[in-house]
Amino acid sequence: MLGKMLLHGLAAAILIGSAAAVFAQTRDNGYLPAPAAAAPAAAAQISDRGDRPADERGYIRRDRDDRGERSGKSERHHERRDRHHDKDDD
Amino acid sequence: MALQISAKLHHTLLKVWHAWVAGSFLVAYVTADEDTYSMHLFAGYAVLAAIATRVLLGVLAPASSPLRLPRPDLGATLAWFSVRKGRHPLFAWFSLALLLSVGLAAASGALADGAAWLEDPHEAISEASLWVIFAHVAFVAFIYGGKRLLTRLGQWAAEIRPSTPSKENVR
Repeated sequence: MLGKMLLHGLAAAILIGSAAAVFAQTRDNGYLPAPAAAAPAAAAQISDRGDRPADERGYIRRDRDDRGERSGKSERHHERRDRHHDKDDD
Repeated sequence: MALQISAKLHHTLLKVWHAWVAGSFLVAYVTADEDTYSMHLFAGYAVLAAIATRVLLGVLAPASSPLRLPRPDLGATLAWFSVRKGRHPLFAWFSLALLLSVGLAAASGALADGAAWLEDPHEAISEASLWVIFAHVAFVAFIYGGKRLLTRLGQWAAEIRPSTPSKENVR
């Protein structure tokens, strides 16, 4: 019975983890389907990008902290981690 | 209003809920790092939803239902230890401790969105609730299989003891 309960928990963890991964993908990468009306404008933008440097065309991430669209809470996590690291250095 | 459903369905619902809260907590715990923050957020809210559902079901369920919220009683617990019959009262204490600790961990995480000072208490409560979960698993394992395992280990130790060669015989 205990083994069964553990297996049920693990199966639920896989399901919830998968849903959480999909949520994270849409939230962090902006991987939401574009509205139909915005599609032609988006296509025009892509064709305009040809003369720009590679990093501006999205091929190279300029900085690790470029995730501007991330929530403030995530930044708070970074700050907290930094605080912990500073303590460790002392 | 009482939930008019069969006892078997109550048990099934309880198992589904148990899997839901255990799975969500596991995902929330392993994704607590900032790189997997969105997953942590999703799983944390799943834990909070599970606890809220459990409290709601516990209030609505009839008195005889296993879904009813546990109400541990210190007097009844002490009385059980003198008789040692019936359901172990520590089940109810563990249920209450788990609902409180996991619920507090999830609620403090959700509130930390608006109040940054709750970040550290949230982390501390989550770590503490993990130990309550470990204790719960160990207790359940002992109740359902530990006694048998201890008896078997005792028998096994008694069997191998006479056949163990002494140091002089080895030389």
